[in-house]
Amino acid sequence: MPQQALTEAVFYILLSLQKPLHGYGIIQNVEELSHGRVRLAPGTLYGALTTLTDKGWIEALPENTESRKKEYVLTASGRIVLKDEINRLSELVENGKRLLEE
Amino acid sequence: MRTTYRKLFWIWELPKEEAWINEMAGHGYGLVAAGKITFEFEDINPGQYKYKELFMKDSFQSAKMRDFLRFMEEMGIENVGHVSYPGHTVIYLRYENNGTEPEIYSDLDSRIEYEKTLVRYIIPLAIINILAWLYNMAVMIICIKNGTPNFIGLISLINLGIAVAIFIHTGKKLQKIKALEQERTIHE
Repeated sequence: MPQQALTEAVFYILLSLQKPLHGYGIIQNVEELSHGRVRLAPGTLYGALTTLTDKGWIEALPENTESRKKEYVLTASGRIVLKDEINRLSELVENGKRLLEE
Repeated sequence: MRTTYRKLFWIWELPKEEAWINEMAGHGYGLVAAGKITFEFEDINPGQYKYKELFMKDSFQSAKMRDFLRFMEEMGIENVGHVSYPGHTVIYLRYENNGTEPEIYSDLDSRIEYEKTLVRYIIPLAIINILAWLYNMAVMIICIKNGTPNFIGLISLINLGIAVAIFIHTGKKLQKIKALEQERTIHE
């Protein structure tokens, strides 16, 4: 079964987690990557992180005693999902450009 | 200085309650604790904080709720109070006011699910109130027929009033959910 489209929030969260980040870091990174267009609200981010952890696409790192903030990072299966999504998005963009130019 | 106010808000009036708490914050009273009809405030700089209320489908003691509140704390959002309902909790969250409107959910799916949580909770309450009203009306009619009149059925009009208020509110919520679901068919 082909992979279903990811939401924009999930796509940017996965993209952000190529290096370990805590919640607030993800929000800032997503905002920066999208030039301020995508602003994740904390409840939405929490829900997404919980679901992505359950799916095994990201994982929480062992807690640092200095910082109480929980950090997350992309897993190998998360990277595959992200690559598949980039391929899907590329197809969308290519088809869009090709048909608009015709 | 701490000040306690007593004010009744029904469970379906959370947006109204939240607006009142934010109005108080604008006047320099910051919420620090809440009960079912009591609200405790302390002096703050007017407008220093903004408040958000959430109706959650978990008990306050649950691990899920603790994890959620800890995450909110990492985001700089502090839990200042809660009121427990069977299997559910209303939590009161406080943000530093940076001039923007606090939002907890930015995606349509979460917003739809959030609205549905309250609807699922209040519809059984409306049904219970309707049944209580019908039962009391039946008791009143039987008593009148037996020559021992009482007015329990009339007093029970309060149950009917509550049920009607819930149904009106549910109707508004369902309209909102429908609009969000329509939006979701074309946007995330």
